[in-house]
Amino acid sequence: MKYAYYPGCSLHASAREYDISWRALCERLGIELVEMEDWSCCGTVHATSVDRLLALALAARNLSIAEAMGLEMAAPCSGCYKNLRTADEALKGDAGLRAKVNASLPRPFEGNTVVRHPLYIILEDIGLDTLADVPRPLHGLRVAPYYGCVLTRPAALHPVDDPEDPQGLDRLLQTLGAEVVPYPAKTKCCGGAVLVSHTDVVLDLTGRLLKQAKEAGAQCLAVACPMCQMALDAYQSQIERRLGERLDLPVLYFTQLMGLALGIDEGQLGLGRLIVSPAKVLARV
Amino acid sequence: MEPDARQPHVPALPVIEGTVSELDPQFKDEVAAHLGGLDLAYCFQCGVCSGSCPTVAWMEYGPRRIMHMVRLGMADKVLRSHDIWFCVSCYSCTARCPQGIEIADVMASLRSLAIAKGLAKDREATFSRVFVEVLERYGRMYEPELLLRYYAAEAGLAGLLRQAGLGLTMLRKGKIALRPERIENTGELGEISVRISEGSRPEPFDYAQDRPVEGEER
Ligand code: SF4
Ligand code: SF4
Repeated sequence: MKYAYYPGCSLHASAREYDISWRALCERLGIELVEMEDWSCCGTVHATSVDRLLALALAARNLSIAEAMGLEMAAPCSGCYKNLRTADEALKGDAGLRAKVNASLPRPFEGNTVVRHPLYIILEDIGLDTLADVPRPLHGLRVAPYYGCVLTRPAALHPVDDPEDPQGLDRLLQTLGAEVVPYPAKTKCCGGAVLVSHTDVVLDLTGRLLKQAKEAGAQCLAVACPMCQMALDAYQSQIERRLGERLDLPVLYFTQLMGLALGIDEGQLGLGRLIVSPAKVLARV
Repeated sequence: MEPDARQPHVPALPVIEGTVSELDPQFKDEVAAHLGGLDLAYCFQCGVCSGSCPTVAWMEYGPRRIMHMVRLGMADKVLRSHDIWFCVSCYSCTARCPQGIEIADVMASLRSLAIAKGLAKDREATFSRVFVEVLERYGRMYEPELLLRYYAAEAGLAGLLRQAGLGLTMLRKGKIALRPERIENTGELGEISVRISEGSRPEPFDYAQDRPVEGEER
């Protein structure tokens, strides 16, 4: 099992713990990651807001690197994943658009890779059966799975999960022995797209969803996107101030929780880089 | 299901002022062309999109009315509206629209048309523009520069200071890169951008004067 690895900008900076834990996980599971040479920023929503064609070209530039490697692409940031996946689908499906975009590129987009998110690589290519007997099951840990918006939306041409009631992360956490806490906001957006420009919007949206998870009994959240993680973790003290109540909900990457369950050394999972410390919660496992 | 406290109460609808002479009958076609196809005639104004929108409480019109305003040709109002910038691209509307309208993509197209025509006034428009500039400079995002340039252009020192505590925490946790990462050939992105803009950007249009923005015609 070998993938062209597209870390994206966050995993090289603010979300290094996602990169570290995902790599450690791959090593344990026998997944080979080859980081794409000279990958560039996917542009996220902001490039699309400025110029849709430019955003498609930026995605196509990266897709063509994975194509040259002859590998499927693994993109752990939901934002990158959505951008690359939808661009891939649009360019594969529309020859006119492909020609227009290719005219701007040094290497043409050919349409022979597939963009995957690590969560679904684990679910589909590794399989939950393989994970049935983990060395350190997460017994006693009540986790709220948080999918956010663009991991499952807009619906893919060949959807890997339900766009509004996905189950993948729930099933993974259950298999790892955790108790999954149901709460309606699991696919509600954190507002990360306007995190800097309209911070108050984000604080309201994240406040509602964290409160809901807490009231449902969650001790921590599991996420699969660095933007969601930042909005929920780094901004949590501001959210608490706005709500006027303490939340103290650690927000872990699913790769970190999975690494723990697999018995990977904690030092390799970047737990100390989280802003709301998970130490107290994890001590109970 | 219990009543959803997260969906804010939608206030009574304000009257949208405007006269027929301000309408641009080509507007919906312009948006459609930008998106590579769209038929808003299928929208039957059910309101599922606005009912699903997490940020509708911050909007003046909401996605349902925006779709209708586009169809009616209310280009000026739509493109100057802050609503399109409060859209956080969550695709809840798109996932639920019974008529298969790609609402979230329409909102994104409206944002880029607003920027191209010089009508975007929202802070998020500035952020998006600065983001692309930093991206083209390094090929990868460099957050310190992005934030400094954004705050310099938009929110000022006060805005920056308000987030100083967070900045320090992030720095302490090693979450802020001290030096930008660059791709090998940053010129490549500039070239891509130039080639894309040749011929593809819409002409800036001055709706008040009913003609293309002077000096920016190509
Ligand atoms: S959900 Fe679709 S059909 Fe209903 S108002 Fe919105 S765009 Fe129109
Ligand atoms: S994509 Fe935009 S308009 Fe649609 S529901 Fe989300 S925030 Fe609202």
